[in-house]
Amino acid sequence: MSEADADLRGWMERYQQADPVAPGVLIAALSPGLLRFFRVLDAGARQAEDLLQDTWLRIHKARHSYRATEPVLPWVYAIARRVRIDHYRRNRRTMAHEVAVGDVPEPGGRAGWASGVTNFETLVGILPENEREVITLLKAGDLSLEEVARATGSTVGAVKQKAHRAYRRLRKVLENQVPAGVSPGGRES
Amino acid sequence: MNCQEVERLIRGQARPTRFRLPDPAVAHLSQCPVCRGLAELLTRRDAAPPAPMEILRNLEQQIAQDLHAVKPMRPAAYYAAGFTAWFVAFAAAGGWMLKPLAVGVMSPWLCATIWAALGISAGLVIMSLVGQMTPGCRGRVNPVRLPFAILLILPAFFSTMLPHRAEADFWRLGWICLICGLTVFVPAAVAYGLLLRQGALLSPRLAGATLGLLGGLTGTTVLEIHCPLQTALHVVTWHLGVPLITTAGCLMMAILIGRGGAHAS
Repeated sequence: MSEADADLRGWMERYQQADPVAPGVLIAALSPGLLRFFRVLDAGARQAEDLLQDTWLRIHKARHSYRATEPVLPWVYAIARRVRIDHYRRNRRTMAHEVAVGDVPEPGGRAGWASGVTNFETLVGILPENEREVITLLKAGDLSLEEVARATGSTVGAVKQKAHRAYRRLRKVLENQVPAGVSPGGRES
Repeated sequence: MNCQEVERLIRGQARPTRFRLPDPAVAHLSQCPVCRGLAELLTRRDAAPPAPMEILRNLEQQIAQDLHAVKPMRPAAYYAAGFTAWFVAFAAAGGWMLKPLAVGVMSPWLCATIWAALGISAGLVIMSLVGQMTPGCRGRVNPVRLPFAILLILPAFFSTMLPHRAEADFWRLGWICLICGLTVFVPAAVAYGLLLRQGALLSPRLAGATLGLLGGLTGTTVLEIHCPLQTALHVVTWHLGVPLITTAGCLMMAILIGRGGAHAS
């Protein structure tokens, strides 16, 4: 258990005991990751902020279900994931329209490469939903494989498999982005 | 190191964002732009953009208005024991009140096999329910696949174990068994529901279906202790019809309640 995890556990316990400082500390510590999680998966900034608020209200209602012996992040992201699913169900029709006319990331785009910055959100946008979720939790949520498995109600093996498939797809996209004349080194076929 | 080895190295990390690549891998990255891109993408721990302060302050205020101490949930084993105790109590009480006539018509081995199958199924359903009570808990039984698996495997198992005989009064006697099983389901579901509401259910639909399945299995167990008509067709149709009806019924009820709540809000 890292120091950050131990801190979060401590604050969660204080939150359960109604320490007035604890909600502020937890909101400040966890919200940026949660917001990024929603932004990567759902794109719209306004929608991500709505989802963040819903998540915190749900966390508040469910705070008794956190056990101090368990890690905090899978508990938080399991709730966040569910908020996202419920939100999607409620707005299914609107969402379908938004996806059809919204920004679709270009897998073969060279802008990111040319500027020397690989945009995580853009690249991950090409992945199928379940792989994108796993990669986003690993990267934006800073969760371990075990924690992702807990948050998604899956097994570590299944998470590893999804991550592996996602790496393959991302590699292909990156290979397409390499400017002509630069060859990837030492790849076995 | 080559591309595959670097990829394997990154892939093998339990938490890629807290992983520092060894020197041979770093040397490879300096030559290979694709691996460099992939490694930067997956292992670099970039700070998430800050959330708008106004939203955070608003959230803090909302939570502060309703901040009171809560008692943390007890360990999962406590709830598992609670569900198991209720299941055993209802099965035993139901079998005793209706008289254990099935014991007289089945061999001890057949009794043990059928009760064991029902007990194992109930145990898996209890594990699923307990898992659903706590978000992000470890080793949860898949709550979506489990009802399907049980409602498919049990009929197949019972039809291979029990004799296939034609019976008179199939509909009338079957109807009696169905009503009997559903009557046991009602108090059992209330007892299970009281335990279940102590948790934080993320998906009321799934929890409803699982609760219905456990209540239905309680009814089936009582029928397997009481009913002297132990033929494959009767048991599969009427005794196992109880969990099928209760699972579907509880799922429908959870959906309707959820929709009602969404409309109200």
